[in-house]
Amino acid sequence: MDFQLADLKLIAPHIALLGTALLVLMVEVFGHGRRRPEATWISLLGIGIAAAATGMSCHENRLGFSGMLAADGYSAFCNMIILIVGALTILVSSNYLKDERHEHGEYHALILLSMTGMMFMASATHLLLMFLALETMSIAIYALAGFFRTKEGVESCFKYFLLGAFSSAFMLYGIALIYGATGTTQIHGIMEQFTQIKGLASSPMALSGIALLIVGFAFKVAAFPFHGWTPDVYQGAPTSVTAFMATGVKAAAFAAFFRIFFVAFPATSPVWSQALWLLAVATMTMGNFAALAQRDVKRMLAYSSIAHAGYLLVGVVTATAAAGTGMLFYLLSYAFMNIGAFACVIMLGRRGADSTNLDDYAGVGFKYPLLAAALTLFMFSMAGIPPTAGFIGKFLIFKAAIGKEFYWLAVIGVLNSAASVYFYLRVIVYMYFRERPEAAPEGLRSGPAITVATVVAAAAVLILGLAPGFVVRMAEAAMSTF
Amino acid sequence: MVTTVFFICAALAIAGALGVVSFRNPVHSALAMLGTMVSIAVIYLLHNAEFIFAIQLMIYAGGVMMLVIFVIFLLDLRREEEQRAKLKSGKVIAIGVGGLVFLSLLIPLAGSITGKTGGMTEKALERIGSVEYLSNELFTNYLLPFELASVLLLVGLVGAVALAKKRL
Amino acid sequence: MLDWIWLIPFLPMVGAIINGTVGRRFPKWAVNIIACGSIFAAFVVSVASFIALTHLDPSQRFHEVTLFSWIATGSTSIDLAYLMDPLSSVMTLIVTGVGFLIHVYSVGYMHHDSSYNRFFTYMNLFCFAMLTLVLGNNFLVLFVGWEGVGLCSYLLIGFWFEDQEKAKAGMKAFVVNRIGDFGFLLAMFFIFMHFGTLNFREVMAAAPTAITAATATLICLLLFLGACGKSAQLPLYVWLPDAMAGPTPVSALIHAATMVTAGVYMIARCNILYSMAPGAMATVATVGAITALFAGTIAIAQNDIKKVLAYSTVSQLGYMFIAMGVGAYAVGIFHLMTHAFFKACLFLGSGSVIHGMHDEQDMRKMGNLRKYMPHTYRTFLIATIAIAGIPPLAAFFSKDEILWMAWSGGFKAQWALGFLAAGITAFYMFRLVFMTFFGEERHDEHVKGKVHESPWTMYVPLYVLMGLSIVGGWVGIPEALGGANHFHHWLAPVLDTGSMEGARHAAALVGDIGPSAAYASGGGGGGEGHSIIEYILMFASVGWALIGIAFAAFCYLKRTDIPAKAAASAKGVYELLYNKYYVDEIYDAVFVKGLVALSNHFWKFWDVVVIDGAANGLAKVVRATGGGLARLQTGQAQGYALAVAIGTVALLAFFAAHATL
Repeated sequence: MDFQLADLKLIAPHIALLGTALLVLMVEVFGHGRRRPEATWISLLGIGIAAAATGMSCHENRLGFSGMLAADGYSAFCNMIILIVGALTILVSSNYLKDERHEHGEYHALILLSMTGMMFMASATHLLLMFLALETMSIAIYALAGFFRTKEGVESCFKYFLLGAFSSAFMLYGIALIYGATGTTQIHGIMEQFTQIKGLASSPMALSGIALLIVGFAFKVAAFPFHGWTPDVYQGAPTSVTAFMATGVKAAAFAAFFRIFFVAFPATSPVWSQALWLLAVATMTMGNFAALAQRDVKRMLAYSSIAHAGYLLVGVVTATAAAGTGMLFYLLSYAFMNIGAFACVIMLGRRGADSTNLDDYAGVGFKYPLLAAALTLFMFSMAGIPPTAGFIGKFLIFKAAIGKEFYWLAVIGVLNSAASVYFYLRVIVYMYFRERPEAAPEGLRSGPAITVATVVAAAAVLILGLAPGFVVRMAEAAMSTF
Repeated sequence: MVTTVFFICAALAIAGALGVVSFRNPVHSALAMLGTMVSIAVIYLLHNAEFIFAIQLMIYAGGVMMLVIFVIFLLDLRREEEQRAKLKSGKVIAIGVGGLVFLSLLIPLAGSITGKTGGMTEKALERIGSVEYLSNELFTNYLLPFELASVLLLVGLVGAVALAKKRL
Repeated sequence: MLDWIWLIPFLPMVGAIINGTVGRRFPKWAVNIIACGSIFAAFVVSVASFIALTHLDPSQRFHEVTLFSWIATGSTSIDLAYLMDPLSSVMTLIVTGVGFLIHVYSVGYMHHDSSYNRFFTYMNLFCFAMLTLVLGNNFLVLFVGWEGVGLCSYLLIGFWFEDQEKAKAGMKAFVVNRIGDFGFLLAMFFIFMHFGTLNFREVMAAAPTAITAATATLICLLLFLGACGKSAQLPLYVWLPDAMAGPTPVSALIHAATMVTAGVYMIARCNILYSMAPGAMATVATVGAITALFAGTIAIAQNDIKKVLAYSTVSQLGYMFIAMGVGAYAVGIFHLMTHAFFKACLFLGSGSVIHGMHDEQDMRKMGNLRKYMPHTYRTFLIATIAIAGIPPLAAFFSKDEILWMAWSGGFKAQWALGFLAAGITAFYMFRLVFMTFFGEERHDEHVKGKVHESPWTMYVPLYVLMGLSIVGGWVGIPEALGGANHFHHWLAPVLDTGSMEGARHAAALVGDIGPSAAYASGGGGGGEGHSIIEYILMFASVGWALIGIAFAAFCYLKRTDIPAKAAASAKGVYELLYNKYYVDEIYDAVFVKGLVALSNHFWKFWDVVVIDGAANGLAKVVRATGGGLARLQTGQAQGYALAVAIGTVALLAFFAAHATL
């Protein structure tokens, strides 16, 4: 298997993003000293090109680069989620960076580079490539978390980096063990080895390798008990980066998680689905429980994102095409609702003071009715109330779980999502049923870009809730390309 | 003979690693790390990977360690203050959990089923270790990871600059 | 005409959109016309579709209109579609008819409120959601309406958000309802798994062959959990009395006539599933009967006029669930309808009283209001006679038939509870009337001389509802009394299939008696001979109600010192009833405080004890990195790393346990 020029077409979206990142860096270097808003537009343009390239390459439906990566419907769908996350993040950041006096091209470049890593993760069919992609994504995120160089920011950057390196080491060891057991790191090859060699599915080496892979993924998606960093990092990082982390990293990690376990390890699924079952239940319960106790909205959203990781894990546990469909849909809707919610959080903040305490939300509903309406919509969607996108996502995932007879998992999931209403609702209660204090600051940290992002996210949450058919069909088509 | 050398080097590597975390003087730690790097390089050599042996020596033992020591001198890091008194319980926990992790990482070695056994013969190793083979693999089958690794380095660079530069 | 049924929910929605967006700039009369007009138009369409249905052959009386395909994929196909059949027709008529009257009433009641257009926006929105609920042709559309009415109810309970208590009541309603929704959602998943569809007609047609009795029982119990939340049955009834914090028209529309009956409607809609699940039916009947009595006893000791009505609503809903549980679905819907009439009338009447008394709700500070508010008094009294079950007013026919069905179906214990509750109902309702409209004036100083009758927009709806409370029961006069029982025949195509079979099994299950011959004679309203027992029971319950009324008259008109003495001599019982059996306090202690405490402990235990504890023990090894980083709380990071390490060990151990050497 040699390198072919035609393979370049498969990574056209990735190349587009990488090129844009370099361009942004160049512009920054040569536009020395001046505030340069064009980084935003260049980045958006690059994302647009990458989206077009994804659209063109999604029909290729083949492996490339000696089986390193797949350009199939699944990659295309995940790429689209990541591109949407990136575009929304950049729109949300535009005004925020300006207000915080950190309007630097490096920010955009790091976002784009991180997205490149995410997209490689989603399309990788080789453990080595997946690992490199994961590191590319992570290192960019570490830097972004500390980008404002506030005390909390640097602290969160440092924590995330340390723990990330720690868990990556486990994951790498896992990959080595899987190579040791199967003699390959290509996921289709691994699957063949499992079917050919008797006893491999119960060999300590192979099983340990799978366990350590889970450690790596569970850390990235913030599953219990590998979630410790999440609240601190989410709270400390710049809000726009938090939004990016919560949605993009989750999307990429789940995309790779699902693909690898679905393709490479069906032979051992009875074992790992049990382990992930426990992990999913612990994750969603822990996330929801801890979120109940939070009074800081950013921290509450951090724990809520842990809970959402739990719901998404239900999709991986189930590991059927239907579950994959649900997971893809969920990731997409989660991207919209979560970035939308963080956009509202940004708009309500002040320079140097994020004002993310619940009390800062008192009376917002009547002071800023449109913003409050949008945030209400996002909260309802996260709580899974119809007819929002969040409801359809949960519906698809739990339906798939029941379809494969994971009854208790679905019961616990639904119970959890019922309990979660309480803390999402509390934000709404503060916005609509509390008086706005006299001393509350005037004005919103708003601008055209962040408004567009919020409106798009809100519209998407509604449309995906009211007419999800089209997207669900696309997700189903994406799953059928495995 | 090869086995003996392997075990000596492995022991040295582990001892060095322990030294890195337990020495109080940062310079001593750095030197211990150097020892680990070199021991690992020798293990590469034992596996017929001459090229990687050379790279390990040049890049890690040479370049990276140089930088580390340079930074230590530049920042004039002093000996870590004595904190023994309040560390006790923490150390016990850390050593306990560390031991558990170590034991659990031994699990894969239990039993002998590794599936593939035939691939890594003496002869194959001889071939794999060579520069030709390595470069051939890197620029054909492993081209994409190779290129992605360069992106990874770029990200590290940009990230470091963004975090460290005084004024952007 | 039937192709236009989608207009029924959409007309109110248009009203809501107009009033919600530009209504602020409209004068009040324009808001009124949009709000009331849109509901009235929906009512007209409902009547027209009702007439269109009557022209069809009974077996053909259904019509589905698909608006668009909501989720349509290879494996899933769910439409946003509406279904008009006799059952939805009855429900739409109730919702739009009573809804319209309440809208008109609100014009007067909310006249002075500053958020006039917001109120009508929510009301119209509620009507949209409620109509979607009753018209949806599958479980998911029903669920959307179900959540929608919950949301609107929440918005309207907390309408006067200046008051913290009221906002809290709204929150309580929403959260308790979510517990119910949990059951509903799970039931929906199971239905989808076993049938591959959520369409009512398809599910019901396939049910007898597609699932076993055990599955049906599971699904029905889960659905009933949902119904308990929405329809305020034990143990989830706690939100309804608190919901009285909202404006009174809201209590009338949402918390009496329409939304709270959604659970009853849903069970009736799934009657075929229930008939397959005797265990579930017995549960429904028992919970309904206990709730009927339980809530009735609480109502005796309440002094807030709206609280009495709220507990009365919970109690009446209990009757409807008895009907559902004994398989008399049509009778339950019949009671739902009559209850909508007289309870809306009562609530609106109480609103009129509160309005006239300048926001006084305590009955101890009322008295002799018939002098000041003749219209309100007249209508309120008639509705009270109706709810007490005195013939020939509405509730006599519906309530009595429920009790008869319970008796003849073999549910003797449930019958006894319901019978007991009937007399108590008569007592506390007349207690309310006597305390409010009769006796001496106990008015506060600041309202003395200012008590006034309400404007015509308020009492005209009262008269209409009063009329309905009188004649509403006549459409379902049982054959035993020489009636034709049109109501049952109308609902028969939807509700009569297989109902007896299940009820008989359920009766056998509760162990009272075996399947009874008497049941068959009365079942579904179509009987040959009429048991003499039916007449005896009828007289008994009328007599029992009259005793209740007489006792109330004695206590509150003649010997007004008795209640206080009774309360003093039976202090324990009185305190227990007055404090509503302390259920709220128990729930608060166990669930709310307990859960929050648990959550706090959990969080503290995990974050503070495990992470920080371990971290403080561990050294700040990373100090060597120098400068600013040395001051960081790297300790926490070490705690997290510890968690990662322990998790890794656990995972490896778990996998190792499945390995073979």
